[in-house]
Amino acid sequence: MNGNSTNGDAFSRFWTDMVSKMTPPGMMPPSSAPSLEEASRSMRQAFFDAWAKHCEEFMSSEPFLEAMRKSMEGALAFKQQVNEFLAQSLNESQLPSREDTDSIMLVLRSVEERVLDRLERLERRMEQFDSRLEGRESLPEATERSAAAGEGRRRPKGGVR
Amino acid sequence: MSTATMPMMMPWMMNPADAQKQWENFVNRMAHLPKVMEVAKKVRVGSSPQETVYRIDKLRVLRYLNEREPTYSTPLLVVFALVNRPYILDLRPGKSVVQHFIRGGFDTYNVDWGVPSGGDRFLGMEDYIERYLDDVVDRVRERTGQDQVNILGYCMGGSMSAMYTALHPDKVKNLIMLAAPVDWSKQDYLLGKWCDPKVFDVDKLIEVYGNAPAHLLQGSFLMLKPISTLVEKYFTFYENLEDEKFLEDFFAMETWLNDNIPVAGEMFRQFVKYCMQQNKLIQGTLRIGGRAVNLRNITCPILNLMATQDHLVPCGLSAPFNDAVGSSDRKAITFPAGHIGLAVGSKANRELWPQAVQWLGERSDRA
Repeated sequence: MNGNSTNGDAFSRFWTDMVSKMTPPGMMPPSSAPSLEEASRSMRQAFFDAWAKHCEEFMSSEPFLEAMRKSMEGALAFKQQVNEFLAQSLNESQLPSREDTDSIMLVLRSVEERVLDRLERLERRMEQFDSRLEGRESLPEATERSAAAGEGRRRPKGGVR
Repeated sequence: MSTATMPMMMPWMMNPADAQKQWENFVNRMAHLPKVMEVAKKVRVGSSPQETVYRIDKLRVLRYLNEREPTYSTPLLVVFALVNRPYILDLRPGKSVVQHFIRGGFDTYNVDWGVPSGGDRFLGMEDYIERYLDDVVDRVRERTGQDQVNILGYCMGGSMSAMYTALHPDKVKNLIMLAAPVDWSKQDYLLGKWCDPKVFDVDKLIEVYGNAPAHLLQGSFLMLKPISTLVEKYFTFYENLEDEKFLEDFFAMETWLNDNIPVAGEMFRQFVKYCMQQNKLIQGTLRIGGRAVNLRNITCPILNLMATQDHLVPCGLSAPFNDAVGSSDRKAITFPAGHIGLAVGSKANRELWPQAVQWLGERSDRA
């Protein structure tokens, strides 16, 4: 009952708003009336503006948000069932499913992280060696070597990934 | 009442002459349909000549070619959102942000993140910001021999650029934020309401779909302004069937709007959850790769560009950025346009972008 009266109110508001916006361009006195095309365009624009405003109000309303939540919940539950069914079918046919490729990706990512961590540690040790060498040697050759190592450090991990 | 005054009083009542005119208009427009098809077929997006200078996984770094040597030695890196394709910033001649910077004397690069597939679902913020973006910035620095780059981040790409600059302030000379959200505390806009954790279970979506599906993203964006995007647009299209310039712009825009791509699942989940729902970025509680993202660390000059009629990223989401950073040189421009109009609108291309180029030029090193 309440829902009906709310919907009724929303519709009345939309209708009143739309008519009040459409009336001026449609009912101008002949002296100030624009051309037929312009008048109908202004009326159409007024109608669209009123419609857009009320669409936005409706899509921000609690009932709409609740309906959106429920429909998404339902759609996701259905999609999950389809996924599970497909995964099971593929497994029964001894074919890899998305779950399997996901597991492989996770393993690869963990390997990648470990390798990158190790590389970082090696890089830090290299830097320590470099600074020690720089402290001991003052030969130009050593400086060149450390500069080259510096270039290497600036090279991002991307090349390794 | 004579038939001549009747349509003035009630425009929906046509006299025979008006009806005849309407019919003629209709026939003329229909006669143009083959031309419309021709324009639709030959539409070209991404107008500026470019070369790919670096690739990693699916990411490409594009460099825009320029006949002249750059006036400024500090390069410009454009960082677009992960949701759509980056060529919106170089849509067509006369509607290209990139062209403004190229003509302004900047060596300009653009990040094309590529299209994530099922195997990319575990790519998260750390991957995109600390690995990919940092990698790209290093490559551009290496290539140009500069210690720092200028960054222009658009929309989500702007938020990502802000995160990056906060983590690596030494590598960024100037930061331009273009309709980039940073503060989601005000949820009084439609997308904010739809992304409320009580309404939108992002964990479940990513668990089920893997990546955030392109059709879901596109549908949501269209539904934010359903009358304008699903009804009004086609009326305007019909009325301009004879205008070739309009058709070229229309089809270029449609090509981009329908060229949606999925977003890597983990990245989407983290962005929606930590930024849009928990608002961690502006609070300084966001952590990427074990490091806190503190916007106060951003000390470079900031230009924050916002659009007054932006329905995706209202000004309230971007404006707090200028107060959150540690920079003393910061400027905000609020421009009368929409989210996309800020990049492709004629007025923005005429009035806003020359200002932005000048602002950047004043703060970049000359070659």
